[in-house]
Amino acid sequence: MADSQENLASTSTTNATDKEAAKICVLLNATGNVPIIKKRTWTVDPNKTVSWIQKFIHKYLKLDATEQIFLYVNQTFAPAPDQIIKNLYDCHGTNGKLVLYYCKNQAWG
Amino acid sequence: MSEMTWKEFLAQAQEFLKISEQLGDCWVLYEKDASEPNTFLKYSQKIKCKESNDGYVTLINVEYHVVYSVSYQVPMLLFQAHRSDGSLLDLEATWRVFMPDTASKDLYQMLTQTDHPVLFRPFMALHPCRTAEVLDQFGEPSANRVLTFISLYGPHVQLQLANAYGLSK
Repeated sequence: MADSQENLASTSTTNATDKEAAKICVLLNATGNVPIIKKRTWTVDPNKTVSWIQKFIHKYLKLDATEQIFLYVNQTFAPAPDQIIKNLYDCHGTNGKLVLYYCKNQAWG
Repeated sequence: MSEMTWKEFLAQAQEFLKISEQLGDCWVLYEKDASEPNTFLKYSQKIKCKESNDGYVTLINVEYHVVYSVSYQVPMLLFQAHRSDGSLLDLEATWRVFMPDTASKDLYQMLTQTDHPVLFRPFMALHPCRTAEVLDQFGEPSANRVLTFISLYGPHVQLQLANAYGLSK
C-alpha cells in the first residue's frame, strides 16, 4: 500500500518536470514605439495561442483598449492569432528558443 | 515610412506569388492590364460559419483580393463572400460572420463596402488608413510588405497564412 503511494508520488513529480521541460522558451523583443518588458525570456505552455501572448503583453503593459499588440517573426511574418506556440516553434524556433518581436499600434480608424 | 510605390507593390506581390507556389498554396495574380493599379493578388477559400442562431452551419465561399491602394499607397484587402446558393453576403451579414465580437460603432471604421479599384464592382474592404503606420512599427522595414500586410490583416477576415510563409527571407 505504502509502495503504491510512493510510486504515485514519484510519477507525479516526473510529470511535473516533464511539463516544465515541455514548455517553450520565448524571447520577446520590442520594436517601434512600444515600451520594453524587462524580462525578455519567458517559458510558455506549447498549447497556448499567439493571441494569448498578445493579450498577455497587452495586459502586462497596461495598454489602452484601442491599441493592439502585433507579434511577428523573422521581420516579415505575423502568425495567425489562433496558431499554437508549439507549431510556431517547430517552424521558426532557433537554438531552442522562439524569437518573437512585438509592436503596438491602433489597427483601425 | 512604409508607403510603397506601385512598382514595389508589383514586385513584392510577384515574390509573394512565388512563395505561395513553392508552398503549394493557390494564390494567383490577376492582371487586367499593365497600367497602375490593375494587377492584384487573388485567393479563394471556403469557410464554415454559423450565420444565424438556429445552429445551422453553412459553407460560404470567400474570394480575397489584395489590391494596391493608390490613395494610401499601401496594399488593401478586399473580399466578397457568397453562400452556396450563389447569394451574396451583404454588409450586415459580412459583419456577423467575420467580426461577431466587434461593437457596431467600430465596424464602420474597419470593414465597409466600397468600389473595387480595378473591377469597379462593390466589394467588402478593410480600411487602409492605419496600414502604413502599423507596417512602420516593424523595427527594420520588412523585406516583403505585401506578405507582412496579408499576414497582419488577413486573420481579421479568416484569411490565414501557413507558418512556412515566414521562413523565406
